[in-house]
Amino acid sequence: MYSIIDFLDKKFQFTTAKAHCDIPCGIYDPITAQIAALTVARMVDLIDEHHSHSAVQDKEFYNRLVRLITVKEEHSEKVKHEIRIIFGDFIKSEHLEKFPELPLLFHKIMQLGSADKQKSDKASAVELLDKVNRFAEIFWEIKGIKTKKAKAPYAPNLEFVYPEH
Amino acid sequence: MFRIIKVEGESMFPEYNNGDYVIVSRFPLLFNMIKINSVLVFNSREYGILIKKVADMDKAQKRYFFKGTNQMSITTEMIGAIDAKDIIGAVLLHFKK
Repeated sequence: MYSIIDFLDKKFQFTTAKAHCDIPCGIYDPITAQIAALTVARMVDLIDEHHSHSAVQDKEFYNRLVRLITVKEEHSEKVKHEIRIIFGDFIKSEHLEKFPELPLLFHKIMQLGSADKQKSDKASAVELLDKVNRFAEIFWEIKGIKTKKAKAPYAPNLEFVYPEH
Repeated sequence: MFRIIKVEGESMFPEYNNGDYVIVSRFPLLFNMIKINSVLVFNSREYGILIKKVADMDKAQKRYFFKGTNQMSITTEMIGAIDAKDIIGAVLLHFKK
């Protein structure tokens, strides 16, 4: 019977139904964005420390300052990139119905990510992490996984949202 | 009312394999015979025509949620809710390669 249908398929080309596999891979986790947001806050601290403790503003001073700013820039952009992927690829319309705050939260993270590239401000960096943590809470709730809050075990020891396993 | 569909991909392995054929119909849908784990072919706005197992049903809103049969499948969350009108049919006959 299979060979008859296969013969007919070659002649008439039946519709194909995809038993889709691992592209997209289904591996999504907001932890990458959370770590990047924490890194932004850490860089702001190190920039402040470097600025206030350096007696001489020589080339070494500027070299380290530029390196700190570069890492802050990269990680602000990384937050935006990671959140954009989850929002675009994982979040579905029914999730937006269930969590109507999501579009504004997403927009706020994009804005804060840009603001944290433009300036070196601790309050803004902390707010970015807060918003990313809220995004993580919603993400895990969608997945049906409970979350807990705990201080990150590394400076600047800000609060993180973790999935409970 | 009946359509022959060719299966492409491995997410329904081991039950359905790449190159298998299925005959589907909307009759089981019209007569409310769809159950959890029924295998349906449907149209997904994002992924095109898919063949998956029913993971859950919202009978009030006539929406279905799907899953593959192995870990490599795209997830129920990724597929999202599928409206009854986007169901092409339930598998009635299966011809293995």
